Amino acid sequence: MLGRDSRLEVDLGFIKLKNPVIAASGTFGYGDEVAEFVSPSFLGGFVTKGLSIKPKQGNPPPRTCETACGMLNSIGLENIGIERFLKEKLPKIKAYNTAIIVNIFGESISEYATAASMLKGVAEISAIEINISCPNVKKGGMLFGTDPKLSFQITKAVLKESDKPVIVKLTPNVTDITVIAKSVEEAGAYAISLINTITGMAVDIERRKPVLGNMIGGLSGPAIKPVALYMTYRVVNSVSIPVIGGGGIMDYKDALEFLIVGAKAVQVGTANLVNPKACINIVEGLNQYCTEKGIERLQNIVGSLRTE
Amino acid sequence: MSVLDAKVVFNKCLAKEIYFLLLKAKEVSLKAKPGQFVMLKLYPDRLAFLRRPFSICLSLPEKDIFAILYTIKGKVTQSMSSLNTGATISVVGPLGNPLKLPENISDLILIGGGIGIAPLISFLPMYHEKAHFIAGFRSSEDYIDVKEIFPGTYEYIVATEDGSKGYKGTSLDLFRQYTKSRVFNNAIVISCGPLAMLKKLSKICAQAKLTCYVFLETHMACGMGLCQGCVVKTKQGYKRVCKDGPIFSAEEICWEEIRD
Ligand SMILES: Cc1cc2nc3c(=O)[nH]c(=O)nc-3n(C[C@H](O)[C@H](O)[C@H](O)COP(=O)(O)OP(=O)(O)OC[C@H]3O[C@@H](n4cnc5c(N)ncnc54)[C@H](O)[C@@H]3O)c2cc1C
Ligand SMILES: Cc1cc2nc3c(=O)[nH]c(=O)nc-3n(C[C@H](O)[C@H](O)[C@H](O)COP(=O)(O)O)c2cc1C
Ligand code: FES
Repeated sequence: MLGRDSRLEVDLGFIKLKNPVIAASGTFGYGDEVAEFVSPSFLGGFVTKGLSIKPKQGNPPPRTCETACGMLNSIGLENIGIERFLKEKLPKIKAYNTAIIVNIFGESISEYATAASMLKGVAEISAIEINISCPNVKKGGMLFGTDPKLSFQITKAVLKESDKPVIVKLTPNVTDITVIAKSVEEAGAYAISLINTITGMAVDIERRKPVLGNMIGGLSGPAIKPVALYMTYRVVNSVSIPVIGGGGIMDYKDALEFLIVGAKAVQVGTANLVNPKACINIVEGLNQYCTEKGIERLQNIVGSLRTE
Repeated sequence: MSVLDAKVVFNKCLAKEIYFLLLKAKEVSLKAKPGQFVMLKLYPDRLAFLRRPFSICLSLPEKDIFAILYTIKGKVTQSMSSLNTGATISVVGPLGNPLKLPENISDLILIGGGIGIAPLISFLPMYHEKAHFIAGFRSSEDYIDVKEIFPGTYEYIVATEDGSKGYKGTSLDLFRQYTKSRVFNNAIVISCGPLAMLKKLSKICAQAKLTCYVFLETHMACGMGLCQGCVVKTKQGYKRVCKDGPIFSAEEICWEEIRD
């Protein structure tokens, strides 16, 4: 029998995680501030807030609002920039015994590539996650991640400039997510993560104005879980690289659903905002599940969905 | 900072739609500093997805208790108002960047508009001997006697818009009146209330060369500095109200850019 903890281990091929629970980008800061509540060392890994080559100030407030079983956000990718991250944040987080995944974005393919090159040689970073759900400034603001050709090109450009495994994070705001998944796999992505938020809006009926300062935002939380699960299921069955699933995961049961449809690991986002212990509770829950069901290795249930 | 379940010690209606909630949570009461807040969630939590922020109005570490003064605003506060003694609430906190006041201040002028008095009360245990508490209410119906919550040797003066209690007018009218006849050598003003009031006050204080701090309120998803959702525009760019605030120097805020 494996030890209590090693039965949760995940081998993604390019990195080994101590468990399949990864805190999602934008909901865990840069990993330093949440440490007041929980030690990130309990996690399989965490993804930093999306970083760009220069600091970005983000969208005008209000930036968040509550929805039925979830929330909308229009943070607008506010971040301190890669340089400051490496100088001020990395020294604080590198001691954590967990995989550090750096999320990057840009407004053009060359910005993505430059961002990746700035992280070259930084040994503490386990992998890069590229957020392709950003507007392409050159193409009139269309999302990169909705175009299979652009998704392919970004993946290639980042791989070329990077000495790290590259995970591509897909947007759900497309007609057929498997088309994008296949094109980033063909470009050489090490893994796919999904889903990013679903575009939405809310209206203040008193003022007849959008609630969010940016008018539109991204929906996250339990409201999107069925969509996220379905998309994960479809992507798992259309590519052969590892898939990291997520969207609306609040507890270990939600996490198990993603593993059963075939995700090797999961990302937990909005749940961290409501409960900073959410990820740790999920790890604990998965452990108990293994004990109760007599499961030797949690990875054995990955893709075990019975469809007959 | 902790994530814990707290027991309701009591939950009492003090005025129209205003309640005083005492919660038992040792770690929070021990760590709380003036001006900090907590994020609360009721059980069962189907009612609302996100936590709600509330200022810690008083903390009694010797009794493992802290207090919240709240008004009914919407679904969560409505439901809070029917909490009974012994009920459990989920608490994250204490949160926020506490304000360190200089040692040598002569006077602390606290100006509260309506429920905005709540966080100001937290300064009384440490500063009541130097404090002047000016509070504005709509009428005697929503008037709260702060002296009942924290007795002390400070002056508590009240204005109501309809004149049904104390001075007739706003807390700012009363502030102007009050400061006219007095000389302060090293006073600090701290205020919490509606945005329009804080905007006006910051102008008055700038003209009178009074150091002024304000409590800001924005929509918060996490309250812990994780999401960058609660920002306010300052002269140094966007700052998070939950982590960098909620208390800011009035001079630092780009008032003209804040949407009412
Ligand atoms: C730092 C801080 C300290 C506060 N301290 C107090 C206090 O001591 N006493 C008190 O009575 N109120 C306080 N508030 C306001 C209080 O948080 C809201 O009244 C409460 O969230 C309303 O919840 P609801 O479900 O009853 O209302 P809803 O039905 O959700 O909405 C009513 C209004 O409350 C506001 N609101 C809702 N959710 C949030 C949120 N997550 N963050 C901020 N605003 C929100 C909305 O803008 C809306 O206008 C504070 C707010 C902040 C940001
Ligand atoms: C406040 C907030 C900020 C986010 N910022 C980013 C970001 O910078 N980069 C990114 O790739 N995804 C970002 N996301 C998306 C999340 O990482 C996650 O993919 C999405 O919210 C769905 O998962 P969830 O329902 O568990 O939150 C953000 C989400 C939220 C709620
Ligand atoms: S509410 Fe999330 S950063 Fe302030």
